[in-house]
Amino acid sequence: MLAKTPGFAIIAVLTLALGIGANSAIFSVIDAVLLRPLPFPKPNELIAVWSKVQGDTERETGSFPDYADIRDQSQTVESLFAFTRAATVLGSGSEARELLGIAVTSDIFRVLSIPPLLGRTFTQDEEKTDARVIVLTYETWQRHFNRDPNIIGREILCSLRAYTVIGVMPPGYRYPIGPRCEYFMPLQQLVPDSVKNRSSHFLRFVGRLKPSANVKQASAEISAVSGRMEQQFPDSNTGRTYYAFSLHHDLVGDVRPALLTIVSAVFLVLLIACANVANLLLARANQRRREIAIRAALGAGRLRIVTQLFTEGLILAFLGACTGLLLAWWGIDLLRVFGPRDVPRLDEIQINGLVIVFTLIAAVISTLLFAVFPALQVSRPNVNESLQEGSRGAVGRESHRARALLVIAQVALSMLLLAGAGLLIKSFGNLRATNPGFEPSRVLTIDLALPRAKYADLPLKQHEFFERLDDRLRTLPGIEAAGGVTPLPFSGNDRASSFWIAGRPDPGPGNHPNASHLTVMGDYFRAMHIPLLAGRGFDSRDGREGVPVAMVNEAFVKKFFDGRNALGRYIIVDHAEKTKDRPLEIVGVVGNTRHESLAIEPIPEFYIPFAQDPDRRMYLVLRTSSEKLVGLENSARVAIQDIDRDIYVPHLEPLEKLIGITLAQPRFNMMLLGAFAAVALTLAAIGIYGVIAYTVTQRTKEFGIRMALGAQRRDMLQMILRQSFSVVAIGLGIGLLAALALARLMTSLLYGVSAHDFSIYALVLFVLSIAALIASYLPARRAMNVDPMVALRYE
Amino acid sequence: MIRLHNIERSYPLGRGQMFYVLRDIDLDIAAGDFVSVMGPSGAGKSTLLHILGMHDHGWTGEYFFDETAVHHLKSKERATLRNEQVGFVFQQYHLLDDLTVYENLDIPLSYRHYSKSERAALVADSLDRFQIVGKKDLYPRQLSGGQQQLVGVARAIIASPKLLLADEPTGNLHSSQGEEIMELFRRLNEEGMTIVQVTHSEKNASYGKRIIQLRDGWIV
Repeated sequence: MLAKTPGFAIIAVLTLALGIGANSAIFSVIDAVLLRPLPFPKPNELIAVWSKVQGDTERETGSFPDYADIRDQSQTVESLFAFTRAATVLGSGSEARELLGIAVTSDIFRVLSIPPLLGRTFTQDEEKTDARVIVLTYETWQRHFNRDPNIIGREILCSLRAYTVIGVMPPGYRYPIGPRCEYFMPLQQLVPDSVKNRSSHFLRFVGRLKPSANVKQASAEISAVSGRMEQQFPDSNTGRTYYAFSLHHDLVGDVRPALLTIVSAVFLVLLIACANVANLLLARANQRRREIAIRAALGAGRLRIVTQLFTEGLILAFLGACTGLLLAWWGIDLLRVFGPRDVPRLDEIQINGLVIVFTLIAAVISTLLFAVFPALQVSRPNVNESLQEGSRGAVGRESHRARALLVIAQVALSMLLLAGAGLLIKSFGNLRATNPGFEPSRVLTIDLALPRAKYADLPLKQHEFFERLDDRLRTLPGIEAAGGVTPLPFSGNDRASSFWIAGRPDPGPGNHPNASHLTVMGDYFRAMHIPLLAGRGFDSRDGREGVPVAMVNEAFVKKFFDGRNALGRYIIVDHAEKTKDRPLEIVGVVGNTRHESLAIEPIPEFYIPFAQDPDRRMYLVLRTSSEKLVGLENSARVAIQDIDRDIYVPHLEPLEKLIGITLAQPRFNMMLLGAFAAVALTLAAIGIYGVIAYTVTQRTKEFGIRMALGAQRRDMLQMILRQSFSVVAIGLGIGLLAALALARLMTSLLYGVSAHDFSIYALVLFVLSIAALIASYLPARRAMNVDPMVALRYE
Repeated sequence: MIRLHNIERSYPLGRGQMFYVLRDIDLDIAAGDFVSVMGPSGAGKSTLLHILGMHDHGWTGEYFFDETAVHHLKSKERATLRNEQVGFVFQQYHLLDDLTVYENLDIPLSYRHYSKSERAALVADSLDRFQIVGKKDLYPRQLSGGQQQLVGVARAIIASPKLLLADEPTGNLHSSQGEEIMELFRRLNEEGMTIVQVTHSEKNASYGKRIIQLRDGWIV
């Protein structure tokens, strides 16, 4: 029967393909990100351990001594490793390239329980000595060493130091999951000082539970260990408690709300698609009423008729699912390309067996949704009536009602989706319009790390290098201002230090407040266009031997000085060996800047001049006179390597790009929901069009009668639009109420916009009304042009 | 009241050929006349009726309604004239299935700018006049064929047209119901209404004052 109505079949299959395909594509993401177990043996035993400071809401990393205590004292955790992200420069000179990896304790290999493909992993003993060993991932071995079979034992140059490759991990092995990870190095030798400092919280912990333990028990036990540490080390651990979480939850917890919103959206798209196909089937059912009546008259039972109609629906759904899988296959390529980097395991999404099974289940569920009602309705015809009415078929009131209900559902569901998309679009617009506190356009940055081999523990040498470089950079053609900072806003790095204010009572160990701690060099504030609000900026007086000074931002003044004058006051930064624990005089106040993301309000910050707080790593900041300066990257490279030719110079990155990376997740949410809303709007408009067009066809005779009785073209148009809008208005009303009720679930994804923002709902109502108007007007025009002479003969 | 001169209606057959449904029709109908148009199927009876009713615009010739030259009127002006002067009765009744008897009677008035109260009064009068008050809330499918045609006639004259056009009004009715309708027509004509009916029935034609025979588009 379907082959006899190819137009109907094609429209139904394509509509279902859109609905099912979108669901399959998103399910492939859910499968990869939320459902698929972590790629390690017994993944349920893996835990992440984070600390939390009393009064703070954010989870925090931990210190090495705390890690060692938890590892040694815990009875529920079989093994625990600590790691921090690291980078190294492989090779030297023009062939140097940057590798990203982790500095980690040897326990990682026990925790993740996967043996190396080649060689061995490092041992606890090797961690304690300066053994200089490295384990490569399979991909690094492949890409940079051409799968050299003799790689084990070979010495390679990492940031100008010779390291021995002792192992290569199997393909796909990496940690953390998601970001680039190309090697594993022992932690302690990389940061020998920090690992001794209990106040240096820079490590993430991951462990494996003993088979008899669960996450809850482990968390309780680890909290108890933190309690003991708090008593033992009040200076560093007061108010700090460690907790355990399932590693899988830890990895995907942040993206879960966004994914669940998208899953809901895509399911709504499927419902709308099903409503459309149900509408088509109802229309077709009316046309087939006579055929069904003849079958019934010839003895076909109701079950048999329903089965036949359901089977036809199933064939449509199956064809829709196959086409949908093709769309999904194409769609997940787009998701991989446009998906934000911080969604873990996004590169693992694929059409696999589970996705195909899901698609088939979606097809069966869709069939139940779109085929059963029309089948039941048409399968109980009044045989006598249907056969007498002739081949044109009859339009039952029941069928009209069913079709109106489907349009109401479509409009209401579209309203939900459009409102969600509208809120995200406005939210994203607000985010983009948020002033970060500096002017990012025409600012280029270079993340420059001096090699440990030549600069570690040599602050004077670090200072000399960057001072010379600063002088060189500011004289490059096209540079308006040059400076440096660490950590750079929007670089993904931050640093907080505890301090207390001289002249006030010491609040006691562990109770010192925290603020963001930045080291700045040269004309950083001018290069960033961060305004100086009071006092002075750093200058030649603030050298190594000068009086230790600091600048603070407005938020700092507001929080710690109640907004009153902070100039001339002193802060004492805890564990500040570089400033010899001397008080820092506040000499200037600058405007607030956002650091981690545009969505996070500015936090208190203090700045220390580079000469008094030198570091091996500095983000150079160059404000240029135009958007694209030809040859600047090369000039900067030459300027750096003129001072030290061994320094690896990464590419220049525009600051706007770094900000853009933090916008990737909200942009992705907005784009996906926006796309689904557009599909929903289109399907709803097609649905309304279909219903009105069908109605016009069915009511041609009636229109002819009305025109014969005196109706004008305008009367016909008004009547159809009024009838269409009486249905659409109910859908809009229900959709509006549902959207208002459900929008609050999206609150965590919104920025600067209320979940009940009036303007969005008004706009969505307007857009849907216009779509409904157009969808109704096109077929209504046909009614206006009905020739009563023709219509009255239309029997 | 009506004067047709040299009315022709044709349809193109392709290659420049035309098929003529009506040829050189000259016809005068005085006010208060009751004309029966007869002829075999395809003779052009219904086409003539639709031209008189100003539904058909594809004809040539001259058509005067009272002193108005219909052939010079624009489509909208013809519609206005039709709404004011002409009522229709159809063979298949053409009541609207989803409307009650009351609502069916109200439709022509709703397209003629009557106020709501005027419409209610006119519908009430009509229901009374045709003795169908008890059926006002019924749907057409709940009525017999004769009752449906009664409503059809009531609807056709509710806006007080001067001319009533009827296209085989008894064609779907059995004889006694047909007689009732024809008697009704006679009474309406006696009250001064001009009626043009198309019929195949000699008996029904005899209710009129004169008969026009059409054959192959010609008046014979």
